[in-house]
Amino acid sequence: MAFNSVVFVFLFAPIVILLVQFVPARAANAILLAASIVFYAWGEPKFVFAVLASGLADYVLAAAIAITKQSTRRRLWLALGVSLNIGMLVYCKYAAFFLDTLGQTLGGLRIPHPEIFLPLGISFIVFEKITYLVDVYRGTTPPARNVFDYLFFVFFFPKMLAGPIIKYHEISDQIRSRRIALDDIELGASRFVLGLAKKVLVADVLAGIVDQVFTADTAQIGFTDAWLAAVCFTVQIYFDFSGYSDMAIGLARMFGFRLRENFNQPYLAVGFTEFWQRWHISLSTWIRDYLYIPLGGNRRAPGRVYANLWICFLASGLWHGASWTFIAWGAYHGFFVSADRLLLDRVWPRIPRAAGVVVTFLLVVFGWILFRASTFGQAAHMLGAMVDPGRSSQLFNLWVTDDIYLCLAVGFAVSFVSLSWVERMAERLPDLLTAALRQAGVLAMSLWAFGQLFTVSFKPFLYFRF
Amino acid sequence: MRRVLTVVFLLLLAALVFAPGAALLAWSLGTGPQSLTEDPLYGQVLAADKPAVNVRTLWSGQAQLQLERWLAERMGAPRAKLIRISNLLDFRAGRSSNPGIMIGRDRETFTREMLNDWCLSGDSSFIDELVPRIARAYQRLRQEGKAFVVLISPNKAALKPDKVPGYCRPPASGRARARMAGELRQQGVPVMDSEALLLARRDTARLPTFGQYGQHWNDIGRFEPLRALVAEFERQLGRPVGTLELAAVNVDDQPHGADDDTGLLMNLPIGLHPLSPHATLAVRDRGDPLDLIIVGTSFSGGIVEDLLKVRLTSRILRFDYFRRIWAYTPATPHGVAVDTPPPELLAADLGRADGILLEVYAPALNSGHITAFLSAVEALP
Repeated sequence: MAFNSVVFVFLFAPIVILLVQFVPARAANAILLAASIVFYAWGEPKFVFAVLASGLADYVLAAAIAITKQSTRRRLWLALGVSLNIGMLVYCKYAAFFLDTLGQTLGGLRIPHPEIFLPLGISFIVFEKITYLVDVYRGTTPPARNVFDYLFFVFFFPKMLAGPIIKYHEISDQIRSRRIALDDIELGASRFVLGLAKKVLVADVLAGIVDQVFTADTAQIGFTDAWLAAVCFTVQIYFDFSGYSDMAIGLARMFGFRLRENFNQPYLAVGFTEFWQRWHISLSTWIRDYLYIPLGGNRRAPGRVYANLWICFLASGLWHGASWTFIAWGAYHGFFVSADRLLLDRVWPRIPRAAGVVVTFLLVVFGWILFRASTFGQAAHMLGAMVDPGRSSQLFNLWVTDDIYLCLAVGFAVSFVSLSWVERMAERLPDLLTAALRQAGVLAMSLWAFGQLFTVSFKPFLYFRF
Repeated sequence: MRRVLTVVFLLLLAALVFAPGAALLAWSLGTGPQSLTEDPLYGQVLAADKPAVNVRTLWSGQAQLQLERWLAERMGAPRAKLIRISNLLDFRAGRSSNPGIMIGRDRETFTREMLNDWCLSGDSSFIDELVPRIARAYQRLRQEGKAFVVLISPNKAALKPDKVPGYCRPPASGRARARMAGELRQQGVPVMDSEALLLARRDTARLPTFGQYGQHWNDIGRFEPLRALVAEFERQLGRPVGTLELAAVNVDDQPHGADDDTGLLMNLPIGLHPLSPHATLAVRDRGDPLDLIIVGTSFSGGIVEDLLKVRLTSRILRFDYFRRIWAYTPATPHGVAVDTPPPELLAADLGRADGILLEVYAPALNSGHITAFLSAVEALP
């Protein structure tokens, strides 16, 4: 069930939100857990059982880790738990890719493999379950009080399919006890509508141009087409993913849960290091805490530190998709993060911040071409067109209507107008006026976005299949 | 006060969220006011099939997909109102929620078909086979003593190129329309190329030939081609029929009929009031009325309407896309449906008719109605 579907917005969510408001906390957790399982089963009726079984296995293994004193055995339970989770992810998401790659390496041999359907949200689910096992092992969190609390953490539907990736200890206290104030409902609903608007009013509109250019014959793509598609995709992916995070955070807030922020105006970053402190924060935090630090982090010799960084970014690329272009994208980011560490961190402070933002932004835009392209050849053509102003367009049916410019304008405004500046300006206005303006804006966005749910065909989120 | 504001806001939002579900519930229970459960939108859609919900379809996920669309279609008036409001906001932003409609400059609407024809170098190889067949049909019909004219109805994008969105231009190799008109003339087939006639007009040059929100020609758009058409029938039949004149043009902001058909399809909550010219036609040197067979697209509907208004025809048999047939006489100006299969009726009624008009639409010159008509002519005894 997608957040931007009619069934979710007009049937599922309002019923669950209403029920949760008017029942005692214990019953509310039971309702939320049941609703979450129904939510996931709606889209994945088969895989829901695999997630349930895997969750039960995690719960048992974590309990074993907690009660076992012997360190070897604790490590064994941890390794088993992590392996089972990684194994599930590798099988569902990467088996076909690895077998196809192996076959090509062996001279074009076609290695047969069964058709494996990629379950929704598997990358997010597995990463969260790994955080639980590792945190119990490290003593960061005690194991869940009972299996229902743990399954609640795994299945909690607002964040299940596309994050933010949360840790058990970030939510455990809230599972036990929380209050839902009127402000939570208001701010949560507003945040949800904002996310929905970003998705259906901006991201999905720009997707039309992006899809048209990226499915065209590369020989037809000119300089303006390539830049248009690149910039549109840059806004599309940000609005699509941050919009989803907004919806997740807003929904959770309406149930009394505070989830971590996942985006902080990433295109305002200077340097790739800062970019990853602002983009998909929950993923970069996960990679730091569960991959980079276990590898030794930056406490090793410089050469090893760079190797650790590269491993992390290659893994990040692979996590995004089972394709060499995703891995290349990860390597691209790894290169620039390494460059920051080696040199650029001393350069950035010496140039105007605006220049640093522009340079970083342009480099990120180039990187998105690798991310979006389906092959290296396509990426090369697109990048080649972007640096060749003399290349004329043969895409005569690329009709750029006024709404595309409007979406780009909104995209750039949201990306580059500092939120903290906006908040400072808003503080100068009477609180009542600010609230009224915000609420009027949300209602207007609701009318538009809700109507879109009926008028547009289903467009899946970019991050669902990760 | 802040709290009051919050409560009002949440109530309004709740109303938006719960209304479609309430309409669905009312529909399922068969109760509730009609104003909640019904509010038809303009245009035709393929309705969702009733979902087959069973263990197998739930397990495969098929039931869920079917249910989503089926349930959405039963959310009654709230759904319709949200669609209209959303469409209006889309329209103001320069986009259309209907994938077949594009909003151009100054909010001029076009169909994708129009823009494809205008902008792309399409494959026109079908003309190689089509033109000789039309030429043979012309010869055959002339042998029967019938007049025959091909009318190419215009592409709006060609007449309003400054309103087309984006930066597309016609292909250097030329469009299929020009090629087809040229080759038909070379074969001796009388062709009325509406675009050429309208681009060359003088008297009504300042008036639009298509409504701003229409995908069919308006009164002004039809006048020149119709006048040329009647003159051609006169020439072929060797007898006077009448000379068409523009008696008066009244310009207002009330589009009629197909003048804003695209606007209606956009399902907006407001009426659109574009500049709308309405022509009053007159006939000079009136002769004997025509008995016509018209084979064409939806563009031929306007031709039929105009001919009936000025009483230049005693009867029209209109073969709409060579699928459905309507008979028009002075006594039945709104048309009566005829059930006979088109090839049969063509063969049966050809003897009575003075002439045949084959209307083809410039962006769709390979339409099936042309080949269906040609096959029927080739099958004539």
